[in-house]
Parts: sequence; structure tokens; C-alpha cells
Amino acid sequence: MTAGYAVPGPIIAIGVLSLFIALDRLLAPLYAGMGTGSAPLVLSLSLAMLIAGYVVRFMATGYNAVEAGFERIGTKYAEASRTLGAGVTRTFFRVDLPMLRGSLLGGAALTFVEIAKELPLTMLLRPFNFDTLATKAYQYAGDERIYQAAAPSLLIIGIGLASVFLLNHLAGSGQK
Amino acid sequence: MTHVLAEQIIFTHPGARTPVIREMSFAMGKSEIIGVLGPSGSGKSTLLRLLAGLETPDSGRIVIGGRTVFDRGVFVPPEKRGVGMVFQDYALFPHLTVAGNIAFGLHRLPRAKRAARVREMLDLARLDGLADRYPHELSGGQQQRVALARALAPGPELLLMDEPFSNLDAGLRAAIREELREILKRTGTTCLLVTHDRQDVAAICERTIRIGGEAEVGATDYANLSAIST
Repeated sequence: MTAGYAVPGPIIAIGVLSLFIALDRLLAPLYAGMGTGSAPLVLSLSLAMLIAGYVVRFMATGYNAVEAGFERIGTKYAEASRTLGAGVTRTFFRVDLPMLRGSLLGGAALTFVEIAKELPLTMLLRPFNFDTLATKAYQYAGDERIYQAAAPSLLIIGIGLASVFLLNHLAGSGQK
Repeated sequence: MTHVLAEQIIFTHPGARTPVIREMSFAMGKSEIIGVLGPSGSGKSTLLRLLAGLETPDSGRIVIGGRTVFDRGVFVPPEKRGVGMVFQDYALFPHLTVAGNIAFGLHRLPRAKRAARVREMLDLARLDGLADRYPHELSGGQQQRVALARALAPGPELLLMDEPFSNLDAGLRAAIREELREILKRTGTTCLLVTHDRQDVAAICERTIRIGGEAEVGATDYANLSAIST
């Protein structure tokens, strides 16, 4: 499930692309029935495809953060909650979730930065006229508009630094 | 009258070859305090986990408060057993205050009754003034009392205590033992207490179940009591 992190972005992009095109073929009668015209590509022109690619590629960062969080708290709090009359659902929302908050935030921050600076997968899967900071910087740099390229690049660095500070802060407050 | 009954309990840890608990049977009367004595690794804590519903026996029957909670084809989940448990390391919720911890098991009560019950428990466990503290701000003895108050708050049919004094220093132990006995007596709680310390049992318990090694030898007038395990 977390193997996507080790696979290069373009390879995942091609895989996701062929899957979505196959899906669109399968759903073509449905599109025709909804009266969207003869264009059979709906899903593979949407943001959904890019998000699917990101999920496969960066499952590991979020997953590992949450798994580490669960390992840290162990099962004893959940067991204490069960003996106090809380069912599985209540235990999850009242005990596990609040205790995992730091891990969830950390995982989200890490994944956010990874996606903000991801380039090859984004280039291949993004819908038309959809840009991230990384694709904009790449485009400007390719056009030799160096000054314009600086703005998105610096923003990416800023976001990266901010999340490092956030992660440090979370690690510090997680000690107590 | 039998309040808690365990019959022919057999339990094997997953992956283990021989059962850690072998055909164990015992009975408890209402408001009785029983100590479970035995060396570490003899299955004392496992016995509590079986009664609480945190582990499932291979076979046997468990009755708590006149209700069969485990039998062939019957398994009542821990939250419906009416069992309170004090864990060895207390397992107090670190994200809740003392009052929040005690109120956790009272979520079915209306708000006003819940607050009254929390106050009552704070009073019983002598925790006045500590209601808004977080567990990490308390001393070991105070944490232990919070764990006890939390387990007793919903009024359990059976209270299970796993090595309740192991994290306390010797001076504190004697005082807390006395306190615990008084609280249990005052609330009329049926309690099964696991320990490896003979003195704990002598100070608090009315009867003893020995597990691991020799057969049970506690002074008892219950004919159906026997606890044999190796």
C-alpha cells in the first residue's frame, strides 16, 4: 500500500492515466445518457485523476505518520475506554482521534509539502490550465523568465520551512 | 449468593502451544474482595483480561452480576459487561482532565447527574481541588486514586485491579492499601485484585486465589472454589 513512494512519479502517472482512460471508456454510455455530448473523456480531464496519482504516490508519508502514532499510544487507552462502557466508534472519536491529533497533523503537513514540490507526476496528470507552484516555476524557468520563476520557487521553500517548524513544534508538544 | 462465576476457563495465547490458564473455576459473592496471587507469567493479568472481555477464552463460562457474558456462542463485548478495570500503569487519558477522565464512563447519564456523580467520586477518592488538573500533573498516588475513581464511577458489577500498587513506593503503599480497602467496603464493590505481593492480599482481601504452582489454599467456605493452573 505504501510502495507508491518508491515508484517514480511518471510511472505512476502513466498507470493512473491508462486506468482513468479505461474507466472513461467503460462509462461512455453513461456520459452519452447524461447528454454531455460525444466527448468520452470526463474523468481523465478532471482533477480527480491528479488527486488519485497523489494518493498512490504519497500514501506512505501520511500512513507512516499515523502508524507511528498508533504504535506510540498502544492499545491500553482503547482498552480502558472499552471497559468504561464506550463502544468501538465512541472509543475512536473520543480516545484514539484526539490522541493521534499530533501524528495526523504531522502527516498532513509532510504530505502537503511533498505535493507542493512534486513536478513530474503533476505535469503528466494535471488538467488543462491547472498549475501548481512547481509547474509554474518549471514553466517560467523553461521560458528563461528567471525573475518570474523565483517567486513560486521561493514560495515552495517558504512552505517547506514553515512545515519543518510546525513538525518540530508538534514533536516538542507531543512529549508530555 | 454467587455474583461472579468462572467455570472451566481455558485460555491459550495466540501462537502458544500450551494454555496459560487451564480449567480454572472460581466463584465470588457480592461485595467480596478476592486477591489473585502468583508469580509473573502465571496468567494473573490474563485472567483479568478474560473477565473484562479484552481476551476471549478458548472455552468455559463466565457469569458477572447474574448475567452470562461468555459461554459457547455468547460473547458480551467489554463495554456491555459492567466491569471496571484499574490498569497497572493506570492508562489515564492524557488529553482529559481528572474530571474528564472520571466522567468518561458516565456518558449515558444526563448532564446534571453526571456532574453530581463526578463530584461524589472526587470526594470519595479524596481528589478535591484536582478536578481540572491533567494526569501528568499528578503524583503517582493521586493518579492511582483517579484510576480507581474512574473505574468506580459507572458503578461496575465487578472491579478488576491489575497490580494496583506496583508503581508506588513502599511508604505510600501501606497508606493507599488502607484507603483502598475502605473505599471498596464503603461502596460495596466486588473486587478481584491481582498482585504478586502477599502483604497486599493480607491487608485488603478476604480470600485468595493462587495461580501458578500449588493449588489454591486460601481460607474459604465456598465448596466450589478451586483454582488450579500451572
